[in-house]
Amino acid sequence: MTSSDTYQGLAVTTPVSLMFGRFSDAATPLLYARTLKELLAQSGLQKDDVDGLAVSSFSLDPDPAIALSRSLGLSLRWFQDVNLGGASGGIALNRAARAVAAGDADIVACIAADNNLETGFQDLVRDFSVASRDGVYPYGAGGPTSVFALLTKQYMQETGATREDFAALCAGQRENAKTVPHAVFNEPLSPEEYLASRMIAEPLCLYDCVMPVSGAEAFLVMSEERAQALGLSYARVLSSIEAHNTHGDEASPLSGGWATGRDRLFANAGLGPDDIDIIQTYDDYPAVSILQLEELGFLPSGKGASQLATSTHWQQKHNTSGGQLSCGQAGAAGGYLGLVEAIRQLTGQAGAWQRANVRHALVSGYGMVVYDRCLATCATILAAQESL
Amino acid sequence: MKTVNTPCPEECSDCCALTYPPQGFCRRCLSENMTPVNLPASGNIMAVTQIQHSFEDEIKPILPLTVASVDMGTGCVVFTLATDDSIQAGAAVSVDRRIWPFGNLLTAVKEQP
Ligand SMILES: [Zn+2]
Repeated sequence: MTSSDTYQGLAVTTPVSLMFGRFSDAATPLLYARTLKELLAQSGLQKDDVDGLAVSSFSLDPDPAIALSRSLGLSLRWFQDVNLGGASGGIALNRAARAVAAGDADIVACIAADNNLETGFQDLVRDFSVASRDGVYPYGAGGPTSVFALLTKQYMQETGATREDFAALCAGQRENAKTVPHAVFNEPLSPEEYLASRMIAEPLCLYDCVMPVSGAEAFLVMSEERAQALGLSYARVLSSIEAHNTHGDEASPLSGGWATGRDRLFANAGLGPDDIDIIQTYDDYPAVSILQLEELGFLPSGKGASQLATSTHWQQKHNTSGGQLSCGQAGAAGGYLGLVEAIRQLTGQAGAWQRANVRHALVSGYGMVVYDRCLATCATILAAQESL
Repeated sequence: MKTVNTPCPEECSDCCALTYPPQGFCRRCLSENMTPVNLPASGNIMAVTQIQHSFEDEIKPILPLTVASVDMGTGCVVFTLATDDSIQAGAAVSVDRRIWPFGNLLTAVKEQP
């Protein structure tokens, strides 16, 4: 059985993005309540119709994730805690789609939400993992930016990529965000402003780093039949891969693992890279987006940065809502952002920033920098409802 | 920030793989026959960054800091502070522990040719 058989007849619907400001001391379960309410309002479902729940958060402590079933008053047949940071969205969708296909649940709400206290991000990075606490944080306490500064530097050394290339990517994504209501940065960013901005950890400057914010992203998974009965626009899942610690024995952090599953991903979808109309990569730092585009076969290995920098075509099809570089990073919800945006584009709900004729979308994720790289990698190909 | 005494890598007596930070067993063969690597130990600089922003107030006055990732062999990477800010990728270094204002940390020193 191929993954396209597994996902036959499944609908992904009701894209929700909520922004709660840069800082919020609202308890995370309240953010879940607001997000669930929005999913129900947009879908016409009642709370009791939801019998599956997938959640992704960093800010639930000391509650275990399952406490949300009680606080939201949901009686569930299926529950999954997908705490995989930047890979949370694609992997929650994998799990939820398989649960609906297997009959374990009829309607799964997939929600990622995190608040951001004034010291919340600092507290998170200080104690993110044992390896990071003991082996990374004492070396300047720069947080993930120091790790990704080293990764970016290595990418630049090996490929000749320049800060000018990253400036073009960041400026292009900001342009994409100009009419996006949930973006925290809508105003234009010129490459010159990028290059003149202050360094955080060389070669990464202020505009390479996503801003921690408070927010939520969500969608629903159900059968196509149910979505049609509800009158919902939906996208279909064609193919999906995930990989974890794929190149853990290699000193270089530059291989994320997408390449190992790429052929299977496209074969199961019956598509190639040229058939993909929009691509959403996980953009916690620009080089990370470029690694995804290279490994997934969209850009030639080692030449992605310069090709991306010189193409307006790429700006149009990549990270169409401006990505996290424009929308901020609401904890684990940052790992949902691209997927929710892809659903929005495939269902024609993107408003002023809707792209024309979006039939196929690819979304990739990268999450959990436990030490010197992220451990979880995923990619998903979705199709518009009418695209067969 | 409390003063830290960061650990050094452990070597597996059975398969020779290095594991860092130490965890009491080998990440490759799961053996528990691990011994701390004797410092100084040799490695090669993978990448270098100058950190200009720190989350810790005690560190801010001594910024920028030069931080380097060092390949110690068998796929083991350690983060180090570097005493020489001109140090570059590919350089052979000796990794040892040195006292810094906020701890006893792995430090990369360029090996003399
Ligand atoms: Zn071993």
